Amino acid sequence: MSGHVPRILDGLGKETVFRELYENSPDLYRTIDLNGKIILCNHSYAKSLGYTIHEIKNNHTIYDHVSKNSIKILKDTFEEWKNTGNVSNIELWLKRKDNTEFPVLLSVNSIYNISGKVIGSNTVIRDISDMYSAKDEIDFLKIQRFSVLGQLSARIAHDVRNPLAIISNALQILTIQNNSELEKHNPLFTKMEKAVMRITHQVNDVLDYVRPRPLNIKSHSLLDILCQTVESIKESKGIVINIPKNDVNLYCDATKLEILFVNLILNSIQSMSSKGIINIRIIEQTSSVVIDIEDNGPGIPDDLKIKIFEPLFTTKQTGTGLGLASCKTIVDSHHGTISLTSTVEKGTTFSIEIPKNLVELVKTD
Amino acid sequence: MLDKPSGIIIDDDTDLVDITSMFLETNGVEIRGKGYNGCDADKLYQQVKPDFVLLDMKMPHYDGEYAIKKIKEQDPNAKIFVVTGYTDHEFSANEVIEVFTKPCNLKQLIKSVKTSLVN
Repeated sequence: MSGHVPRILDGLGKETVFRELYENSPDLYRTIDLNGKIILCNHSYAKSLGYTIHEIKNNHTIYDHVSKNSIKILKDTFEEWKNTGNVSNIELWLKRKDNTEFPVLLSVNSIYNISGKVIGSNTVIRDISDMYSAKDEIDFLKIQRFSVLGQLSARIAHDVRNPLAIISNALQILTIQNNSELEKHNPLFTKMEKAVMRITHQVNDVLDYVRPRPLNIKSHSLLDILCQTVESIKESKGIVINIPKNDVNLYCDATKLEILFVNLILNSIQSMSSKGIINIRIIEQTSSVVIDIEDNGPGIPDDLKIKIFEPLFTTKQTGTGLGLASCKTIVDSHHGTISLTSTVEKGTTFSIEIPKNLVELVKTD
Repeated sequence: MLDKPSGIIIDDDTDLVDITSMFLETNGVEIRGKGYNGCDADKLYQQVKPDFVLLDMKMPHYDGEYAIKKIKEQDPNAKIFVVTGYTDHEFSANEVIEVFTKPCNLKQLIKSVKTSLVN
């Protein structure tokens, strides 16, 4: 506002126009001094906060009108204004007289005295409750869609797993028969078994991510689970998998841990293409067990490390991008942690730590 | 040495029932009955008194949950193995011996069955 008043408003005077603008604006205006005391505010401001102008003026500070969770933002904003003289579109929550809260966007401009010294600020506040309820509605729709997706996935998984089980069982029958005619075709059977395994893992990945089934916790030998996992992967040419020699009994969901290990080992194998070593270690600690899965593959660059547990993130041409995300879900459900260390061209190690007292932890969930 | 273990298989997919029982029979397990829903499971258990039950969860009309409840009423020590495509049923501690997800490793399944019968 440069101070020119259009001719049409002649006779009203500049001051009247600006006072009108301040007092009757639908936006919330308040004027504060350098200590944050509210020395003036408009009707909209007082009304939105549930007070009269008289109650607020020279009685309240800006901290009387902010919600508890936004106090820090307000303090920081106040400091920023004092240092820079200008703050715009800060999102925070205000608190009404009746203690209800509402979200606002806040912008600040300094006011100066005749000698150019800052004496306070005018703050324009916009109530964004409507935007928030729109956002809530969108979130609700998303959740609803997600739940439909979950139900659909469960149905598909059920319907796909039956025919898969038929193929898989038929192959298991064929491979145990002592028949030299059939044995000739063993390489074909292995390929078919691998294909069945690939579809199975795709289905498991999606389902375990979208609709994790409740944990089924029992005491299991960790080594048994690892051996079964490695057996289910079948041999991959040129890849050596070293299984640990020690063993620990651990309360866990064996099926879920198998999915976890399969995902990590398959990722390693795929990253190493045709040659490499995977070392699996079990390290027993006082209150937890650590499982390390180490490969000497190409490693993971630093910029990808933070992304790899995000759903749908993948660098591969095949796969759902849910493998590592569901690994994280599985470890989380076991109250454990998963982390990785990786050096490019040297290899990657995934470390999973699972507490030994899972049974007690789950009870308190 | 343990006698030949006997079991019943319950699943609404008839092909899967046939092929699973074929595998078990060629691996020293006697299949005493095949059923296709939870009601069949209950009746078969009463008729043939098997050592163990292989049970699917999601079946039309009378599902796996119904079967578990009815069989446990007859015989609280019944040894039930769930082999399922998907279930969100939360099994309580003594309800079933183990839960397998389809497709499962049948050798592993037989191993689990035999272990549970020895105990």
